[in-house]
Amino acid sequence: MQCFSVDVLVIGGGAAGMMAAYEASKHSVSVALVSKGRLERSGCTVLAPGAIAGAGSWRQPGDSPDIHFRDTVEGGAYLNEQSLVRLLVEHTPALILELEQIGALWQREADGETYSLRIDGGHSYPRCPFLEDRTGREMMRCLHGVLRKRHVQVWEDIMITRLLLADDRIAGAVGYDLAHGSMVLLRAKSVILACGGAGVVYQNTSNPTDVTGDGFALALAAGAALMDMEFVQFYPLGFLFPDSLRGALAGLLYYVHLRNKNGERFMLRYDPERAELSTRDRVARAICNEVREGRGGPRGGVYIDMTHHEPGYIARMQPSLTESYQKQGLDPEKDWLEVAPSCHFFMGGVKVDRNWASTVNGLFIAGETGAGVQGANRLSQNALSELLVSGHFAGLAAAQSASGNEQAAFDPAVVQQEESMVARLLARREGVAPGVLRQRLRTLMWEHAGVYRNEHGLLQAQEEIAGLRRQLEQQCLVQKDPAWNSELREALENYFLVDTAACIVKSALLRKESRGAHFREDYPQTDQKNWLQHVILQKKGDSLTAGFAPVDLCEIKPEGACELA
Amino acid sequence: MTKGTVTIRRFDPARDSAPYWQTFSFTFQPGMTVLDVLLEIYQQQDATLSFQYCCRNGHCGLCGVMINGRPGMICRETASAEMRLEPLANLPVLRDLTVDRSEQDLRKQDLRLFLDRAEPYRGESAERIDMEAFARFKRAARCMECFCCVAVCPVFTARPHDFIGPAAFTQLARHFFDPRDEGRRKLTALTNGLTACIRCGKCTDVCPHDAMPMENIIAMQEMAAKE
Ligand SMILES: Cc1cc2nc3c(=O)[nH]c(=O)nc-3n(C[C@H](O)[C@H](O)[C@H](O)COP(=O)(O)OP(=O)(O)OC[C@H]3O[C@@H](n4cnc5c(N)ncnc54)[C@H](O)[C@@H]3O)c2cc1C
Repeated sequence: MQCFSVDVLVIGGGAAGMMAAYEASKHSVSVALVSKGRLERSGCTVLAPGAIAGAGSWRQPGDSPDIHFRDTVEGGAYLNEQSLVRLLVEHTPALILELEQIGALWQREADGETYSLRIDGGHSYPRCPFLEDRTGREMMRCLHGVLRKRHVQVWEDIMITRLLLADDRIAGAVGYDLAHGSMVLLRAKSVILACGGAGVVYQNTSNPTDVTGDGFALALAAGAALMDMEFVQFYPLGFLFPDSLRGALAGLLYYVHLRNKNGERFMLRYDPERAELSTRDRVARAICNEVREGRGGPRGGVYIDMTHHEPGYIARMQPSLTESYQKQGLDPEKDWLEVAPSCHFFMGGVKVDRNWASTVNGLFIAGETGAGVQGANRLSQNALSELLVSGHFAGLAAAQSASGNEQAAFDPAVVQQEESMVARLLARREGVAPGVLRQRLRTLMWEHAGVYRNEHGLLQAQEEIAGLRRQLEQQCLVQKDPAWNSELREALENYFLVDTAACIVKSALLRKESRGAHFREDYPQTDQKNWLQHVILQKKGDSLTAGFAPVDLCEIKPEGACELA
Repeated sequence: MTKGTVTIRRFDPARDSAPYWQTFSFTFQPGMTVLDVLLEIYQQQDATLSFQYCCRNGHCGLCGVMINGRPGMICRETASAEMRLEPLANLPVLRDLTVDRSEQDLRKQDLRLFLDRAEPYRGESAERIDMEAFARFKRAARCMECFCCVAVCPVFTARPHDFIGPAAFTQLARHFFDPRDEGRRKLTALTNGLTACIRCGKCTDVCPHDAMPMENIIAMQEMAAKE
């Protein structure tokens, strides 16, 4: 077993983790970043085509951080922690510029010094700098460069399986070195978790294969509180074919007419004024409803129709998607494409304070693993802003926390437990294949805890998840080699997926109203009187306990909320 | 549904004395990707088959494979009913179709792949950038290091220790073209074999993201000659 010691340990190699590591490295502490996937080759950030929302000096007349604030809170259905949103809107602009200082370049107008800006659903003004259709990659590239420049240690292909604690303080982490097939012990004075979300918990997802809820489950196991886990964003238009592309973004709502199998442009029935440009959650529900009522296509989706555009328009506006269509033998100027909603983003996650500190001493959070900024629904382009701001504050606070504390002791038995779990997985001769177990989980989550939810379905999901949890210890691999073993990685990830699924279902059961991305058929109304609060989950022994916390409404309040909070 | 067959070059250096070919059948559906085929085999026939992928959609650059002799990303390439798959050429094999990227990563470390500049710009609004230089920068910055170009480069095949390769040069080109950069990029490019490129264009031909490695190398050659 290898062992390393460092002041600040960052877990996760997306842009949130890298931003946190970069910031921490400015404050006279040693910093290391450890990641399950390789930098620029894993996580969601590298896929993000959009833009970074921030009302900086480039903003248009009338726009301001205040308006960005209002847009974000209204989009989040008033469930956002408003002091976190305030930090988001005030600090993103400087961080967008800071990325240029360390090497990025954002798209400019012909004069070479005016940012080109994007606007997207829910933003009142164009305020989002970008680069081509690969803004996320550009962020990753400059952050990766600056980490190398500053000699921040980077360990790739290491999957953290457990956080280490000493009494009430973080002491580091244990992981499995996927490339060499051995355990790694990482001792640290403070830890930043930045493992992204958990798209893979659902059958349809736009997320890459390594985004499996590890951050949520690791934090939960360490005793941290999770919040808003019922809020999962579904992007309405995901591919259904081919299987490997299932859930990947298949189109943009501005360019499409949605049709059911009868050819009806059904959105006109659900939202006559805005049709396809209604909010993402409504479009997703409308699609699922059409399918449920028998008006869907053979693959369980509805059709996007782009044939009303002039020839060449779609190819010009979305070149790489057009390539995907053509590879499937479809011509967007003639054919329709079957699509369905897809799990895209987790608004919930680890509960944090204004330093992005979790409820565990010395444990900080960055990026999609954290909760509170996006409320009940995220505006487009606000995820990239969130990871910058959370990375910045978590990095700073983790460095300060490390400076003021000694390396905590830890219990070596924990490392042995992890080691023997891996050994058991490799040794087991019969049982369930990790791929099969995962498939069951993803299907049941899609059916019962997806776009539509109700008590009956959620209870059934809860029971089935409990059954799958028992099967975790029966997982059996064909490949017995400890190194480069994709089955082993899947098996380890399954523990995290099951924990994440249990949290989503438990929170969704408790929230007896509909708000933002969470829709309960049995409670279809938003209840401002009783439900301007968060569901908070914590692990006590082997069980999940739930509590409630009021929403931070320090700046603006929705109608009907006056007495509460 | 028709039957497809795929022949895969398998090798576990820790166990097999030599690579061998193995043929699998699969359910062929027009429009499926090569990744779909491998996933079907992995899930239903042989979970020991080793291959790498992460994002499923052409962004992570992990899944390059030789498909019927030509390099491509398995998540983007459409499958045919009969195929032959081998690990990416010019890279060491870890197992089956999984290749070892560590040597390529090692090569990058000397290239100082970050903005090299004594004094960072500290303005409150965007810095003025020469738009022609920016266009070149953007092209090179599209590279996501799938190493398809490395697999076809004849110069890299012949002289891997004199010529750092089209992918590494494209990574370097971003900084070479960056009008803000003050690093000694020309010297770095020359000492890593910039002039050895024979301009065959194979790299640009296989690049899935239009990063145009050959054009980047030629532009660096011309700029280096001018200075
Ligand atoms: C297809 C797509 C398009 C998007 N487009 C946009 C957009 O245009 N605008 C926008 O604002 N947002 C967009 N988003 C959302 C946004 O990209 C993500 O929310 C954000 O990038 C998350 O960043 P992150 O660093 O928190 O996590 P990620 O980028 O997902 O990185 C997570 C990292 O953690 C590592 N990791 C996971 N588990 C472990 C473990 N156990 N041990 C060690 N490491 C681990 C992973 O390997 C990975 O490196 C998009 C998301 C997707 C999927």
